[in-house]
Amino acid sequence: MAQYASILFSMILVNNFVLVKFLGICPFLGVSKKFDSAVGMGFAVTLVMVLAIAVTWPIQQLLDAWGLEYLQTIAFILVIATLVQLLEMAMKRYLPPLHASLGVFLPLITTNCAVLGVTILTIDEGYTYPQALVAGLGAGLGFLLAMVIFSGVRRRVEEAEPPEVFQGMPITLISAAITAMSFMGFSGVIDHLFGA
Amino acid sequence: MNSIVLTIALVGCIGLVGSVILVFASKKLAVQEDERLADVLAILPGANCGSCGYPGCEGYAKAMLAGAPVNSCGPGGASAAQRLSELLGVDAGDVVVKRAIVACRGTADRVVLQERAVYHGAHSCRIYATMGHLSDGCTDGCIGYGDCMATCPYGAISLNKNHVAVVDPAVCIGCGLCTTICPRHLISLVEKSDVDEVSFVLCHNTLTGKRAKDSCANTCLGCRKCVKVCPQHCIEVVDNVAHIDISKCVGCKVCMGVCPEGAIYPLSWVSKPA
Repeated sequence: MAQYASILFSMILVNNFVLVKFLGICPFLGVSKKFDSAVGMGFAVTLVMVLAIAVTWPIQQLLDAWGLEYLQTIAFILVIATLVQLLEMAMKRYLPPLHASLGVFLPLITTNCAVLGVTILTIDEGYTYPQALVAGLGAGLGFLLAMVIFSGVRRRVEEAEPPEVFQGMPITLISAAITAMSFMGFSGVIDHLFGA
Repeated sequence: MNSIVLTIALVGCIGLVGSVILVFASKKLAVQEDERLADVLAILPGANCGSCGYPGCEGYAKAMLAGAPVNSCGPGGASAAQRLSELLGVDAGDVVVKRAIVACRGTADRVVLQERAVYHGAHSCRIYATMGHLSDGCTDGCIGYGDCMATCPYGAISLNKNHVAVVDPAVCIGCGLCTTICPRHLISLVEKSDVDEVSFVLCHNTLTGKRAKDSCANTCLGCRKCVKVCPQHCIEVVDNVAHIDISKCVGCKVCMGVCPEGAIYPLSWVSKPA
């Protein structure tokens, strides 16, 4: 149990996909402007990550057995694209306001490197199937956490009225860098907590 | 050979399973969209100008399908309203023709231009207007940096040789974007009545007498001569400026004849090709 908790929390905090590994920056900067859409995007990515690992992990076993490891990228992208398409349809049907506010960033989860990254990295780590699923959940929740924190940061920054030259993307990138630095403080925390 | 077959089989299987799932999902999760929406959007000009009062052409199209009147599209005009009414089976109604008008005629030697010469700030009416400065001249007239010109998506506004913004009625579609930009609130939207040409006071100068005359040669003095002669009683003077209610104006032009300063001008609408 401690092992799963260790994987979950290290994925959320120590190996946070956005703020430590710098994957999935595009939606992180694009959709973090409003709290609601940031949360929606966070959950959408979490769902896609867990589902993607649930499907790609067995496929990887197949690839290993047949000696077709070089097909990893294209097979995984295919699976992720299908899942994202499915998610978009479901969201358009059941959550039209969220669908409208996420806009183009929803189909762009397909090419979100965080999703492809989590599927490949869990396999590189040699996780078992349940471990991989927990890692996917942790990566998704880490993405959600980063989105939520950063939407708060951005609101504060905008209210503070930065000088004109910094307004918009420049100050966003600077504050993203500082937020990422704050996450460096988590390195080593999990090792001590769970003694892994 | 074997590995090629396996490769094709594996990727093909993943693709096939994925597409089967998606086909079922698209049937199951299909959103009921009114099939007329695409037709309505095809009729609308797609300028997304907002003159209808809805967020973009798509917003207006959805509103029309929900029962909004079909005659609100400025750029589309009467022909679009006619086609929309045929498509949706509702009454077209009368299309209100609107155009913007800058209520200032200015002069080449008006005081604001002399004051502008010593101003070294940004080249913008709105920024200029926020600067606190004392002025001997008219503080209600066109500043002439052309913020409205930059705002107009159709290029209907230009600056004349006196540095006064002028709206070209042949191009203006009456979207009203410029009316919110002018820091002196000189631009207004006027709706066409039954008359093709009405009188309009091209001045907002609230100064009186000699001060008004010194600041600009084309100023309304607020002398009320036009008020007295108007057969329709549609002119009133507020804050030393005459205002003509153009919905009542019959275009007799009597007021133009009596105005000592020539501040009243004919205002016309150009019938645009459908």
